[in-house]
Amino acid sequence: MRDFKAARAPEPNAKWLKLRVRLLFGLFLMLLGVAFGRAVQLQVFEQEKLRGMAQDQYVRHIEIPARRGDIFDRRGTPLAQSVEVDSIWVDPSMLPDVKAASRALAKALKLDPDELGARLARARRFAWVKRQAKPAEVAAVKALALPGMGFSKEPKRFYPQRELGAHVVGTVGMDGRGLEGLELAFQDELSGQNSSTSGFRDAKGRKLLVQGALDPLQRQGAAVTLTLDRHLQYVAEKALSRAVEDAKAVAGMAVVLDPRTGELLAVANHPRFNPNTPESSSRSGMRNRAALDTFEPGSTLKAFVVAAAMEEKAITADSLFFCENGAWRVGRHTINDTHSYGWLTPQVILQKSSNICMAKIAQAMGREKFVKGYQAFGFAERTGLSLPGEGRGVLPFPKAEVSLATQSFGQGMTATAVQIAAAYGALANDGVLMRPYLVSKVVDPDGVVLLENRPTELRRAVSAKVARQVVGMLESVVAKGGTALKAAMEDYRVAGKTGTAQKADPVARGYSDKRIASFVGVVPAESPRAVILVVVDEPKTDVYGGTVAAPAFKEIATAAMAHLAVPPSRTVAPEVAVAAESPAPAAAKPGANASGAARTALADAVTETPEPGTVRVPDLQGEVGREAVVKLLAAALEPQVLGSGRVVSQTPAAGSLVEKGARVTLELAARQ
Amino acid sequence: MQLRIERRMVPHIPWGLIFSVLAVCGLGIWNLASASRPPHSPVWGSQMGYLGISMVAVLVVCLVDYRWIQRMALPIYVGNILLLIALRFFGHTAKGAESWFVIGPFRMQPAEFMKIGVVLMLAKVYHDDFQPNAPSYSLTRLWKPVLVVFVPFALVLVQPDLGTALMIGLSSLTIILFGKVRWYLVATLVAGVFAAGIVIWNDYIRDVPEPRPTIVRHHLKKHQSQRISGWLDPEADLRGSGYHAAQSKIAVGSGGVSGKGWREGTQTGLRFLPEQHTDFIFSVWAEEHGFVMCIVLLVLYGAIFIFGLGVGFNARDRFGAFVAVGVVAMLFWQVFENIGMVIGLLPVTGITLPLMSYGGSSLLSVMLSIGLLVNISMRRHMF
Repeated sequence: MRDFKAARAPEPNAKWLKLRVRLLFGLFLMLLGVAFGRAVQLQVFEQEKLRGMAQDQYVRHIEIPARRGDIFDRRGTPLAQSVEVDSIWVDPSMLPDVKAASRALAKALKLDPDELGARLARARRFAWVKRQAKPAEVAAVKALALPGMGFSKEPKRFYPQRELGAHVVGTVGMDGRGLEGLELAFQDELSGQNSSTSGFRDAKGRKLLVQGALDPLQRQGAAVTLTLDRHLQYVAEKALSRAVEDAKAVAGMAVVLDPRTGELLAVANHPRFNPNTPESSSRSGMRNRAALDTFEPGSTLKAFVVAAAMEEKAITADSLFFCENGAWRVGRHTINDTHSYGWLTPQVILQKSSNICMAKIAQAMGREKFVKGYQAFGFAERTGLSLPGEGRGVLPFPKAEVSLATQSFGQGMTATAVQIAAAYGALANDGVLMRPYLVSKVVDPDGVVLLENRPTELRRAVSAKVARQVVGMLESVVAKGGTALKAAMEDYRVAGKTGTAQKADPVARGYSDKRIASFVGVVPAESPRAVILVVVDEPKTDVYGGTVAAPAFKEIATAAMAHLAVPPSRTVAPEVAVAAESPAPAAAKPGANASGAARTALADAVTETPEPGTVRVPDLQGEVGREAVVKLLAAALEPQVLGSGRVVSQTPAAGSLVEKGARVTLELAARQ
Repeated sequence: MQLRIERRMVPHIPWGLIFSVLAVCGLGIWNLASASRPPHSPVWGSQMGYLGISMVAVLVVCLVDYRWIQRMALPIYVGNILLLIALRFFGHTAKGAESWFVIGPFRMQPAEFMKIGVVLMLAKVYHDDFQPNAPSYSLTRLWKPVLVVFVPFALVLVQPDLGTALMIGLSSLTIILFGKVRWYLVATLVAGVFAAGIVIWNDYIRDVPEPRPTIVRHHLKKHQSQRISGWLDPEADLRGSGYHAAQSKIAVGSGGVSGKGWREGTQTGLRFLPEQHTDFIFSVWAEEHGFVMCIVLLVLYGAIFIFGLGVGFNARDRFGAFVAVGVVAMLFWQVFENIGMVIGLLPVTGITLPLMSYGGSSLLSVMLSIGLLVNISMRRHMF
């Protein structure tokens, strides 16, 4: 306290000091005012926006997938079902020793320990150990008693009928989304409405506090009922497989259709796959080729040309055509028959399957009427099966004389198997074309019908009289002297037609010596209940539809007639009975001396150039994506590319005839 | 040195100031209890302990006559500088900066006390330098105060602790301006502020097609430039440079007018702000208690500044007035910079909010400066 006396008196010029304190105070107040203003802005005017941003950060919606709807055949047999299975996951940060744990887990689940260990080491808080595990595997993992393991229910798609109808039903991916077939086509209906529940999420992304009950919006997926008949599907697949294997062919398809309604009773494809393990087969192997892919059908189409010509009164059942004794020059080309024939009636033309006389019938009709005739039967028109990627088929206008000729026997144009079956359905149904359909009903869990298909008349293709006449003519095909004695049945009258088409060769830009053998039949002929088409792709042992496809037809038809409880035909055609008694020599005869002549007929078609306005799809298999696109553009086609790498599959197939500017889908994959 | 209170000092005890400070301290601990709610460590308990220690320290500071402190200003200043230098050798590095001494369970941040040392030393310089009727300070006459500021400023800056260095600079600048400088210096300063504003506008805000003609931006390092752009537009880079600014804006704004309630704040509870119990404590307050309570807190701080400046206004001598103004300036700039950064007015720097943020050194240094204010106030008429 010594300083007290030395201390100065209050300064005389304290006035400036007070002024400055006031100034300073003013400055502080002003700056605090700015802060106040900002607080008003944030907390009063922007509070809604910022509160929304806050919620965006911490509220997380957790989707709980709804149960996927089932797929049934026409009798309610489930073809695809959803079941709940356990999936195993782990929080690797809680494992004391990730390496040891992954070894133990890999042993329990028969996984690759290195791959699993790497996966767990990469993840921080969450990693799937095995999704959709079996109950025994779950028990084995629980027995390990590792910390941080979690089990959650995930819906899994299960196909109780395994391979049966797999191509039609399709398959789903690991996430439960449809990949192929009806699973893809009806993805929206089948998947239902997922429910969501909200939870909190902290700044590190951890989910906390799942709150609230399940969303009332959740609903199961709708159930899809098909027109397929499980039994006929089974019979068709079995018969087709046998036919394909016996002929050492690469693939095959079969369609069974009810001509009176247009319902598809069976759609079979070979080779088959098991949709429960879709990873074991390629995407292209799952393709429902019978419904989607187009091909050049060959002679099976002759019946429609005859029907259309009779409808147009260009010919009558008694008209006579001269078959030029087996070889006929059209412009620069020569058309051949398997045998040399003289004057024939339309019935015998169909029975013998004469190409030359068919060309003459087509000429007699004229181009416009010819094309209109095909169109009336639904060719080059999408059937609307509600399957994605269904082919339409190409029917180029035949400007050249030779095109008119080849199209009259089903070359130089394309169609899907379902189109051909439906067109035969029109002949069998007294000339009325029914719309073919595969899905009869889609019903949601509340019983609301989302989609219902009923038999729909598309149009009258030919008069009932003509249709019956043509069916009657076709009965002679399976009779003595016809091309398909093996298709004849003892108790039922069969009307049918064989086809032996040449496959386009994508490399040589013409026709190869590969064949598509087919047989399509209507049974029973007097009041048809089923149209059955069997197509065998690239048979090796024998190439004729009458020998390769007809036996499969007979097997399917026999089972179908029994299953549909069709009474046997009252009068069994006597010729058919004879043929049935001694089919072997009769069948062998045309086969033996046909081959040479057929070869020339087909070789002739090789030189046929595609119509202007249509192009053949080049073979792009194995090409690098960029080069494939360049080639497609050069061929005036529109490329659509999926994936990356090299081309592993293409749609439409190489060599098929398509309109210019058509879209070609390429599936690319990186080569391993 | 005597520790006693005379009867005549009692009427001059600044009860308003003490009440405001204690109120803010109380709210601070309540708020910390929310910011450090389970499952996080309950730091509000240790903050209570620091508060107790600080109260004792304040009492001691109040009892000493501040003129003794005036004589001790140079040793205090030099001691603090030595501590800062020692930090270079014995310091503990955390978050890339050497700013801590670790003594047993305690951690001390000398830079916090350096601030008080600078204020005391500046006040002493201005007190001793006083010449009646002398003209305002020109640039040449300012060398002493500038030197006093520059040494600790540089030492803190190299730690590196830009925030604290900035606070030392700003509070010293306030004192120097308060000490009357020539008008051209003021004019230069104002021009400088304007120039900085124009440069920032040109380099960051002006809407011109790239490449924009920049003045300073291309000289800056990338992270420095990002900090400025993060301040000006936090939404542009929510996961990077703008994260803190955007998150604190969201937390403050989502509180709205009435707040979400104590311990109910979602952004606080889910830890969207990493420094929420220290630098971003105000965002917790604003989120949970809303606009109204923000204003209450601002008013309480405003009261501390008013009462503090009142102490300087009525101080008996130049030293007292300068210390009071310096302390209030120091507190003010910290409060303003901290709140400004939380509500997105100013760029993000590591500054604590006085009396609210968790931290012993920070609390003790603030309480010591409050003690100085009380001391000066009590001894305003002592003859």
